[in-house]
Amino acid sequence: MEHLTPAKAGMARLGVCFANADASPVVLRTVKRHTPFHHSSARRKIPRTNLPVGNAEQIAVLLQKQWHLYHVTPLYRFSYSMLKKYSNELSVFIATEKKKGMAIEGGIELGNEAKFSMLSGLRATENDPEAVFIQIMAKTAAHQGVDKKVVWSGWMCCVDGDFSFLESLPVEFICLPLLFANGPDIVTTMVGEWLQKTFDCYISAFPISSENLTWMAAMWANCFSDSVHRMMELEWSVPPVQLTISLSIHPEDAKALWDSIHTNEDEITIEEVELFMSSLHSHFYRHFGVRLAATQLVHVSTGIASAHCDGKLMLFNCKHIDHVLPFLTELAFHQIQYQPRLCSSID
Amino acid sequence: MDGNNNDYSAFLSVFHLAKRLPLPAENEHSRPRIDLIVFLMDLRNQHSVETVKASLAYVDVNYFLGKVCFLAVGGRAVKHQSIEMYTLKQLADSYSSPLIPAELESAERRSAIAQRLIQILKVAAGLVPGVSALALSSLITPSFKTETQRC
Repeated sequence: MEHLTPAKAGMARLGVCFANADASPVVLRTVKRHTPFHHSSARRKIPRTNLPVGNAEQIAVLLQKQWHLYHVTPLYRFSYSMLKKYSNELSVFIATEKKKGMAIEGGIELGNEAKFSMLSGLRATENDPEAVFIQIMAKTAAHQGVDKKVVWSGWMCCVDGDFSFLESLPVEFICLPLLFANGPDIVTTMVGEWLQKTFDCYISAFPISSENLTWMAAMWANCFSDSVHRMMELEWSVPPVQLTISLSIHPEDAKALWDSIHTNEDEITIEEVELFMSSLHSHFYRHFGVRLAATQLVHVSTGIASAHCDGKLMLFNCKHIDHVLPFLTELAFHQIQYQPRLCSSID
Repeated sequence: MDGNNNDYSAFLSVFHLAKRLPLPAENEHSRPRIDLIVFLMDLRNQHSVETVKASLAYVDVNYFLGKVCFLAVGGRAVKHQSIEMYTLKQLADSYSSPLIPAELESAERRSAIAQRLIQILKVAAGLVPGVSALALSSLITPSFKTETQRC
């Protein structure tokens, strides 16, 4: 009950009662959560601190591979000390699925041994849970003895997650909202089923909207470095005519354009991102007469990473991982909090 | 049919499609009175939103008292969206007009939206006694407004 000051008490006697004017942060947050259209933030901080990349070899496993991105709701009763148990359970699960004959597809090795390990160093703050790396291997009889071949690999992480959300989770839950998967789709489905059954979570597809791809293009143009020699490639698609338009930009030119727009050292605003894209659009229009503003951006590729709107990601550079992962984590949290729309599930 | 037995189902509605405003000046004198303007915006097409924003400058102020309506298409597929629904809602709120999210892919969705727009058109043309365009638009627009500044 709000306590009334003397003036308010006087008004109350007249039959008017003013509630406490300042809404507490919790109330305000829940009100915002239930308005139908949420907007993403207009400014985003450029990560200044590099991730404590502890094991360079471990992180190197993540690079140069095409990862398929999925969304995971918080895991119930996931414990880092039981990783061996999880490995055994998942191996058993895959073996039973194979026996059931679920996935008979010619030529695809399903593997029979799973290994869970902790990927330390892939977190930005103390509140982030440690990342988890999963590998599924198959024993193949090579020339001498038995060789283990990695059939499927995946990892889950949470980098610089939304602190207030992580705080509000009950103790039994761990939030690792991003799942990266590389390997046959059938194995991904099996791993996803096992995760959903064991930890009572929900795994869904993670499409990336064109708007977020433009943010990525701007953010990655921002951290150009001399060691990176890959051209910046952008791809637009025009569904009605089945046309795909791709544009390659030299990274130095992209950086020069971005530098002329970007002013504040610490953050990127949406106006800068929009100006960056509209300059590319008008350049293209002047030369080719095609209005890119009417098309949809589907693929962005720079020397740091490449992202496709279907939720496919490739990381190229170990040093600049901290420019990619926090943004993806933010998008994942946005989906959990504001748009719990059930995207097409993994199975 | 209403209480006075007037048959309103027989009014003639003419739909004029235009890619942008202002409409060409040549047909000014022969053009019938415009009762409702519906702005169609595609969430996947940034150019459509920019065209609408440019065209809004050519609309007479009196139309914003319930004779303007915004239609937002393409909100279902996340992966091709270049604009956020929030931006369109902000735009609609700044012009005090309703925003109707629509899906025009299937035939029954199209006919449902068409029915709704025809109802709004009837009110805007003054064919429904007792309801004015301004009253209807204040009923359609929800009471909360988007914040005027992005945080």
